[in-house]
Parts: sequence; C-alpha cells; structure tokens
Amino acid sequence: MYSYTLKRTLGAIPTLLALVVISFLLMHAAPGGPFTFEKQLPQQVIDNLNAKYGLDQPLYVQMARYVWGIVAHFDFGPSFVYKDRTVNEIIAQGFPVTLQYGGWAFLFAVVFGVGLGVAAAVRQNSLIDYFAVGLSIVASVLPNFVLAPILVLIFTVGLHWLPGGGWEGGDWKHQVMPIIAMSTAYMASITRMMRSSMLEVLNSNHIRTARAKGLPTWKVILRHALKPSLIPVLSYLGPVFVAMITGSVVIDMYFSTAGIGKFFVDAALNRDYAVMMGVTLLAGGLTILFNLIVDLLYAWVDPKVRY
Amino acid sequence: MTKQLLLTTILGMALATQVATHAWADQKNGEELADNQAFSLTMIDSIKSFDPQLISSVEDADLARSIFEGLMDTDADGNLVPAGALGYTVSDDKLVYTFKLNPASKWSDGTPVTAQDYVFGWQRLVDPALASEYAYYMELAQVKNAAKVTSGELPPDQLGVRAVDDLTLEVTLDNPIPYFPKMVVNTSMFPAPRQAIEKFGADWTKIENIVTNGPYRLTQVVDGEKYVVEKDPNYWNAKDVVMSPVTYLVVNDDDAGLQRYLAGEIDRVPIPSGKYPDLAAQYPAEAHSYPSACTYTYIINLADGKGNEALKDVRVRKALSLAVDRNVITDKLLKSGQQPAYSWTPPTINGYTMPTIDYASMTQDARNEEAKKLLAEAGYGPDKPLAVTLNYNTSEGHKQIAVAIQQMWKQTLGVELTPNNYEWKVHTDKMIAGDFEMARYAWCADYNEASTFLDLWTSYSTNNDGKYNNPDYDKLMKDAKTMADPSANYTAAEQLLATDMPIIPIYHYVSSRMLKADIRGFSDHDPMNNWYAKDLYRVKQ
Amino acid sequence: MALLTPIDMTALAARMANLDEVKGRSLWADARLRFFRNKAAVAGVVLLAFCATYALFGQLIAAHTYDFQNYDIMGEASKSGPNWAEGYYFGADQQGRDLFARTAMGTRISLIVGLIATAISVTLGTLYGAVSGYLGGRVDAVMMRLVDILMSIPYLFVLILFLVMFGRSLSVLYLAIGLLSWPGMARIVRGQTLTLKGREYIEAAQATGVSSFRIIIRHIVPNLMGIVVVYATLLVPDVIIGESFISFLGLGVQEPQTSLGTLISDGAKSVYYNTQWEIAFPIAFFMMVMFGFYFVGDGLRDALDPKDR
Repeated sequence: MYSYTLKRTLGAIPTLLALVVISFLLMHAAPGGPFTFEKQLPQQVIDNLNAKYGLDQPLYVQMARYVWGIVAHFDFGPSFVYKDRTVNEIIAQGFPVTLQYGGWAFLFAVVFGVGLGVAAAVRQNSLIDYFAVGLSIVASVLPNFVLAPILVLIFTVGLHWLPGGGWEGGDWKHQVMPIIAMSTAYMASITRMMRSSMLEVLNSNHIRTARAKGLPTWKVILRHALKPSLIPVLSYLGPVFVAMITGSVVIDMYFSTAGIGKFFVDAALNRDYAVMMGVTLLAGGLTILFNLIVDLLYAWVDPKVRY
Repeated sequence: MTKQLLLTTILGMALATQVATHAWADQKNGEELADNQAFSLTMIDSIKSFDPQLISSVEDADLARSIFEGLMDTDADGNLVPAGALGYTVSDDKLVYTFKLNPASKWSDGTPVTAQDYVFGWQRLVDPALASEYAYYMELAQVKNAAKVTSGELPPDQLGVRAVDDLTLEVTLDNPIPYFPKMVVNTSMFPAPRQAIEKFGADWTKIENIVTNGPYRLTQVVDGEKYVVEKDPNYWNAKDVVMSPVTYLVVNDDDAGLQRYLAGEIDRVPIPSGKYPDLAAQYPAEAHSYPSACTYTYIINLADGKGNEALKDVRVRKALSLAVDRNVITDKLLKSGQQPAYSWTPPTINGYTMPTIDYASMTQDARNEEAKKLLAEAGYGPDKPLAVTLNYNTSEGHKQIAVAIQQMWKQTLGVELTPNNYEWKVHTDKMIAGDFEMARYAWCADYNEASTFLDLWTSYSTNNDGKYNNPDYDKLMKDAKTMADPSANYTAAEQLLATDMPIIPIYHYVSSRMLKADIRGFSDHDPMNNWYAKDLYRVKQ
Repeated sequence: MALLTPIDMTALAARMANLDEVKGRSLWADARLRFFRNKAAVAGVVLLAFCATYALFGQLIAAHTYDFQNYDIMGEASKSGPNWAEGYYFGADQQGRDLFARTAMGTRISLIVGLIATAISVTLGTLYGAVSGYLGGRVDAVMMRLVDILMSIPYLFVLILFLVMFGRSLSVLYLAIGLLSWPGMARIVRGQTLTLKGREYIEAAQATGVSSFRIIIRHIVPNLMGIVVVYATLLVPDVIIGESFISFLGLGVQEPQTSLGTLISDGAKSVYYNTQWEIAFPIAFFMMVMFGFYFVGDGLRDALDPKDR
C-alpha cells in the first residue's frame, strides 16, 4: 500500500511534465495570443510586451524556463492580463474560495446522493424510489446556469432571504445558493449510480444469503451491501471533485464568488498563457491526487482488488 | 415590551447624534444631502491593474480616476476643468504646452505632487522595459520622440516632456494637434509616485504599498469580488468630496447584476440588452440611457487577393448597406435608445459636423428598392445569387444582429449570408490576418475628437483590417493634423466613406444604466462617459 | 462445471425453475418479452417515440420556418407568448422566431448529438477501461496516467484547434464531444473491472488458459453493462448541455440552426423577464427525452441482466 502510494506519487512527475508539454503546444498552436486585440497594438508595442514576458524566445526555451521557475522558486509566472498579479497570487486568492463552496457542494452531493440512492434501491418501486428517480432526472435537465437564476429569483428577489452574489469572506449566506446550484446535478448523478449499483449488489448471491439468514435489512446493507456498491460511485467521484473546481465558472460568474473557476475559461479565452498553465497544473495535480485516493479506497472497499 | 421600547429609544438617540455630526455639510446644488453617502456600482471584471500607465480597460480607468488625478478632468459636458494642474498655456506655434500644477496637490504619503512626477509617469509609459499596452497613446498625442522611445531608439529621458520647476510642466509636440489638452484626461497621462515605484517595483500597486494622489484612497481589495475606496482627507479639495465609501463590485453577468439592484444590493448597474423600455416604464426615475462614443460596424475585406471578389464592387457593398434595416436592430433588438448609424463617427463627438449622407434620410422601402437596383446592376440576381460570409465573435448580441441582418438580406436581396461565429481571439486573429469576407467590428473613442474614429481607415492605420485604400482620404486625414479647425476635413472624409462604403456602419452605442433615484452627479450627455466619484452625492428623499 | 460462469449458473437455475415459461424461446426473445412486460420501459419507448416524431416532423407542422423573423413581435415580450391563432404554439424567441419550429429542430440535433457522442464515449471508454483494469500492473499505470492527462488538458484549446483544423461541421462536433467525455467512462469501467477481476469465475477462466481478450469480451464487458448503461444515461444530458458551450466556441451548431442546449442557455434568463415560454418548452422536451432514456435504459438493464434471469 505504502509502496504503491509512493510509486504513484513519483509517477505524478512525468505525468505533470507531459501535461506541461502538451498544454504548451496546444496553447501556442491556437490562433491569437495574449496581446491580440481588436484595437490592434502597434508592432513595436507587441514586441516590447513579448520581450518583457519572454514570449520572443523559442517554445522549448519558454517551456524550460517555466518548469525551472516552478522547480527552483515555485514561481508560476506573471499574468499577462491581470498585470498587478502573479499566477501564484491568483491561485492563492481563488482556489481557497472554490475549495470551500466546492467542498460543501461535494459533501452535500455525496451524502444526499448516496443516501437517496440507497433508499431508492432498498425500497425499489416504492414512493421513495419514484421520488429519488424523478428528482434526479429533473435535476439533470436543470443545468446550473438555469438553476442559478431560479434560485436568485426565489431567495433574493422574492423572499429577500439571501444576497444575490458576493463572497464576503465566506459568510454562510453567500454560500447557500452557490452550493445548491453546484451540487444538485452531481447529487442527481450519484443518486442514480448508487441506486443501480446497490440494486445489483442486493441481487447478488451473498446478500441474498445474508438476508435469508434473517439479518435485519439495515444491518445487511451497512455490513455487506454498501461497501461493494460504492465502487462505481467512487470512480465517478474522483473526476467530479476536480470538475467542481474547474467547472465552477458558471457559479463564479453568476454569484461573483471570486473563485478560481472563472480563470479556467477566462485564461484560455484571453490566451493568458501563464495563468492557463497554472490552473491546468492545478487541475492536473488534483486529478492525479483524487484518482489516487479513489484507487486506494477501492482496496478499502473491496480487499480483493489488485491493481 | 419595555425592554424593546428602551432599545428603540437608544437606537434612535444614536441615529440622532450621527445625523447631528453630519449636519454641517448637508447641502449641495440646493438639495439636501442624505445621511448615507455610501455608493456601490458594478464592474464586469476584476481590476487588471491599478497602475495608471498599465491601465488599458475602461473600468480600470473608472476606478483609477477616483484614486489618482491627472492634469485636467472633464465636467458633465465633456469640457476640461482644472485638476492636478491649475491651467495651461500654449506657444504661438501650438507645439509647446506649459501646465501650471496645483501646489496643494499631495500624494497620499504626504509628499507634494511635482512636475517631476508627471515626467516620470510619462516616461514610464513609453519605456520599453515597462511595455505598456498604451505606450502608443503618447504617440497619438504627438508628444515629441514618443515613437522612438517606444522602439528603444532613444532613451526615455528624450521624450518631449520636462519639469521646468516643481510646479511647471512643459510638453513639446511633433505636430500641433489642437486636441492635445483633451488627451491628458486619459489615465496613462497621469503622474506616477516615483518614491513608491522605486521602493516596491512591480508590487507598488499592492494595497499596502500603493501611493495615490486622488480624492479617494484604496481601502479594500478582494480580486474577483470587490474594491472599496474611501475619501482621502489629504486631497486638496477634500471638502467637496461627499460620497464615501465607494464600492466597486465585480458582477460578470448583467442579468444577475440587475436582480441584485432590484433587491437593493447595488446602487448602479448596466441594463441588459433589450430590457431598457420595460425598466424605463416601471422605474422612470432610475433607468437612464445616454449616447456613448462608440460605433458598431461590419467591415468588408477589400485587400487584393483576399475576401470575396463580389464585395470589391462598390455597388454590391452599397446594396448590402442599404438593405440593412437599422431601425429594426436599434428599436427591436437593442431597444436602449441606440442611434442607427449611416456614418462612422458618432454625431455626439465634440466639434464634428456630420455630412449629409443621402441614404440616411430615405425610407427603408426606398433603400431596399435602390439596393435591389444596385445589386442587379452589379450582375447578381435570382440566376446568379450572391453568397457572402460574416465573421463575428461569440456573444448573444452579435449573434442576434448577425441573424437579423442575414434575414434582411435574404428577404430583400436574396443574398445568402453565412454567419460564422468564432471565439474572440480566433475572430481577432482572422481579422488581422485578413482571413474574412466581412467581419464584425466596433470602435470606441480614445479621446473626444473625430480623428480617433476617422484615422482608422487611413491606408497607414494598423487597425484598417479591411485594407480600404483611398489616397484622397489619407490626404484629408493627414492635413487635418496641422489644421486649426479640421472639422471640414472630417466631414469630407466621412462623405468619402459613404461613397466608397468600405464599412457598413450599423449603430452608435448608448450607455444604459439603472441608477438609484437619489444619486446625483453622473453626466447624462458626456459621450466619453468619463465620471468622477468625487462629483457624486446622494440627496435626501 | 468450473468453466461455467455464475451467469450461466444462475440462468440455468432460473430456467430450471421456470421451465415451462422459458421453453422454446431464445435469449433475445426472452429479453424482449421481459422488456415489454416492464410498464415503465414501454412508457419510456412511447415518450421517446413521441419526441422523435416531433423532432423529425415538427418543422413540417409548424406554421413558420425555424429562421423566419417576424418584425412585428420581435423584441416584444407582450406579443411573443404562445399564440395559437398566429401559429406560435410555443411562443417566439426574442428575435421573433417560432419556438415550435426551433424546439423541433433543437430536439432533433440534440438527440443526434447526444446519441452519437455517448456511443463514441461508451465504446471507447468501456474497452479502454476494461483492458486497463483487467491487464493491471504497468499497463494499467500507463493507461490511467494517460487518462489523468486527458482529464486535465485545457480542452478549450483542443476545441479551438479542432475548429481551426477541421472547420465547422456537425461530425467534428460529435467527435469532439465523444473524445472529451470518454475518460470518465474509462475510469468507472476500470474501477468496476478491478473488482470483477477478483471473482472466482474469472480466476477459473484464467486457470484454464482462456485468452485475456476473450475474458474481457466474454466475461468482463457483459458484467459491466449495468453500470455502463447508467453512466451513459447520465452522459446524455451532460453532452446535450455541453454542446451549447462548444457551439459557443464556434464549433458545431450554428445560428440560425439551433439545439436544445442552445435554446436552454439562451432562455435561461427568461424567468426574470416573464418570458418563461422561451425556456419552458425546450426544458420540457429535454426532460421528456431524459425520462424516456432513463426508463428504456432501466428496462434494458433489467431485461439483459444475466443475474436476474
């Protein structure tokens, strides 16, 4: 287990390097650069800007400098658009915000999703089941950009209960709507995966045996059925956590939550190369970390798992 | 019950004392001031820079004008008023401007603002080491040697600006452009605090380091969420500054912003496209719309070997332009009082006389008839249909206009238009590379004078992506640079554009806002939309 | 006997238990019968058939073409609501275009996008995940690191490059969405394969020298079907909504053509301005499609599930 974790951690280094190279190539291959504006700058001004940010160097030099900056100084470079800020500052400011509401959203999605899914499976074809399935389908057709205006209309404009945006250092009132808007769709997906996976396990021989022995249902579920049925949900959750961080752009734009999500889209659209690389590496690091955690959890859930 | 009563009494007393302390300054322009002078408004994105010489966005400039101050400000009519300078004189050959600085003006660290600070700021702007995107502005202003300093041929100290003494700034120009004083209103021409910049380097704009000279101080920065500025008691005219604190909230989504305004969270928000009439009917005292010096247009690629050959025929271009029913776009889609554009320069620009453009006064039916005739003359019709493409960058508004025009051309002329949307940078890249037939474009004034628009279509302009090339036009614009009153040339140039039709102007922008009814001090007619937080105040209602 | 998988054993047991019922019927016929006995599944088929009919023929019934702009109602919220007399059954959008015709077009395009892109992602993801999980070890490590990379690369640039290199077309759009969404499927399938691998019947098959490829195809993949079907029904709405964002970049569906995703994202704000019909009808069809897929998917899984037989 420890040696596996160590191996995977070391394996992250070439993975991230490959990610740097691929992303660098992709970014520079795309038309337009950070200083391509509709109000075109004179060539001389562009040259000065390129020289200042090292963009006049060949691509491999830029890449090497970039990697060296990270390894030697943990410096991810300056933003080409937000000129007063470095990439480190942008991530240090936005990531904790997204982590906070994203973390809550993740927790809600998992707790309610797994709970509803289990309840629906155990009482298959009951009212609970219909409710869980119906809710999850309705939630899946209401993307966050539809849900957000509806929430604002109800809670801000209608009831005056919650502020329509802002973060205010993470005051709970400012977190409620972002968390709901973000978690609903994921909760719906988890519910359905959990339900289906639980149904399969409940139909398997060893659970039938356990039930036949006369053990109470909740005991059977907690002791025998829950763990094996978690595998698909676990596989799903690794990328979901990352997707919540990287995909929070709608939330950040709609609720002005000042999170990092906005930069995943803005940096690409602005061709703000250094910021783009920074958030890409952040996403890469998180993906590797969460997929590792998931892989380790497989072994906890099902001791017979071999990699 | 009694407890509650007691509480209300105490609260009431507390409020009363607060009112009493404010009682001394409760009138402005004959209206009684409110006790609450806090103000909040939205900006579409985080501040990109607080550094006056690095600012390149309108919103950054809006905030910068509250914490910094340049030589001159503008008033509600767009006229110059003294600010960091008491006034200026100009030499007989109109090449040397001398500004007398305001001796009372101070930096927030207490040191006086000197002519050297302006010289330092201006030299910074063109210094290749700083690499400001606005470096070209100094060249536009015709300050001596600006281009050569930007290109590194001359050191920054060769720029045509010098401090005669601590309070006298002398500027030398290459060409006697009459609108030079208007250009110093731009933030890139503000002074820079040498003491802070040399001490902290690029970090000087961090809130703990920043040194400012404006009516407000920066007191809170939460990037992506909000910026707060508060009245600076050190400011030379602090007694006239009423509104404080001013909170700039980052709200990316106009619809979300409007809801927060309606819920009472924000005092000023932009009105989402198409929503003005309903809001104006419901909140007549709060919905505002006024002209803004920008024009929306489709440019046509006239470059040799590029674009669509059919569009090189002026009759085709004219036909397409005539068949655009601009009133449908302004009155049905945009609906905020935008003006249909038949010419390029907005009519609100100071000192500019619009020429009489013949098709501007025709009815749309007459235009359509004329368009059909022209297109037939050019040889296109049902047997030989014309097919053209239009590039636009993705946005709801551009899409609506493109689709509407597609229908107009299809219904009136039988022309097949394919609208191609591209992500913004791809669109721009294609435009610069000349890889388009027609492309959406818009331009906003850098300064309140017609040349900021008309210079664009000279053959030597970097922004002339359609490669329109008419020597007569170039000559008119070149001559205008040295004329005392160039307005006749501007009118003639505009007439040439209408004749050659290298662009299809569509509409002139407005700036439309919801503003709480008790706020005063925003100009409703300055086309540059420059505003100064120090002019604002809230009246008692 | 060791060669028989539990699938066969349970199937056998079931057959023996219900000998009369099963006699003379093939596995497929059996599955079909079970499917059509499932009321929810039949309801799902009916729903999908209804949506498909509307998607295919809605534009023929419509009183206006999908791109015609009526200047009389353009931008007039009070005049553009549903209006049977004028033929605007679902109302009109802000540009005065018939939403009945546009929703029909959108449903058609989105159904195709959803199905093709999901099919690509299911095929690729299932095979990749099953191979990676079954082979394990070094192969798994490399294959999964590749998935890690694919999950983290800035896909916006990938899409922009797709557009620049291949131009805009619907087939490029399907391909792009399919290629973007399979890594998630691969992770899920691989996770499930890891546990299947430890089952007795797989070990038995290995012991008797059955090739890895055969084991994957014959024994692993069929046992993955339950989770694959569920994940596929989850992918469809993601793909349909995701398409609107990709079209935003200029790849794929172009105005005046439309898709459900675009109609929904354009109509999202209409709740504020009392023009709810702009979103209500597209969302309603989206929801019907999703309920249809869910019931059919569920019915298929129950009908095909080897364990239940």
